[in-house]
Amino acid sequence: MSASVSTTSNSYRKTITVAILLAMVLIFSLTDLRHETWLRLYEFFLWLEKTPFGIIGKTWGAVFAIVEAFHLLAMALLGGAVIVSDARLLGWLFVDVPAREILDRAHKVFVAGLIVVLATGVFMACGVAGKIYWLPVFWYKMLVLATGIFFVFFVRRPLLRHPLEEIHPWVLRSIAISSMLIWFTVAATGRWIGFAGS
Amino acid sequence: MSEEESNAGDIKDLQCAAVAISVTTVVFFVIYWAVQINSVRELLELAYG
Repeated sequence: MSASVSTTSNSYRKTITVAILLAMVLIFSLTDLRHETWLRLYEFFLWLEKTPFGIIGKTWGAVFAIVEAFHLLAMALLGGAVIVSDARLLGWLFVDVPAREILDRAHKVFVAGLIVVLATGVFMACGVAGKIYWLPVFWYKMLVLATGIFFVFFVRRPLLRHPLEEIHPWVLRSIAISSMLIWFTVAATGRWIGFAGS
Repeated sequence: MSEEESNAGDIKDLQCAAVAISVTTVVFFVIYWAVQINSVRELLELAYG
């Protein structure tokens, strides 16, 4: 009996992890824990502004603008990779090219874009830490970005490494649609930060 | 357990996890953007009647 339970929990390891994480996010969002954590992070955001990145970002607008330009270009790269691979999964684009080839190449572009987005994003966040701390949209962006990274590396990519014929077509469609929704929200909330609270 | 069975179990697990995240994402997306669009609509109403 216990061996059977153990085998079941082993075979559904990722599903159980996802369920636990979703429950934790829900509990965190609906309790005082969220507000308490936000208050505790204030000192950290003040410190971010005093780091060399924060000082450079606040003092030299041109440096901030150049880094932001790379951030936006990397977002375009990442977004392009997402659209190409998800549109192929949905059968909307490049149907004459093998899906495996598109998925593998788009993932490499995605990873390169993500690294630049994260590196430039940290720099930019330091420069405007005092502003973004107060913006709910920034926290939503961080939540969706973390979800996106987790989704890609923990579920999407490992699943798509298997032969696509073995995956249920509706699962492939749901992966593609949710992936586009996640990265659209990351991009849209990111631009919103630029227009909010200034 | 043979390698084939383990592989099938792995795919099943990943598919379940993918569906769980996908459903959550779609629900979050609909609620979040509906609330944001409604809040902009209310602000515009307050500003311009």
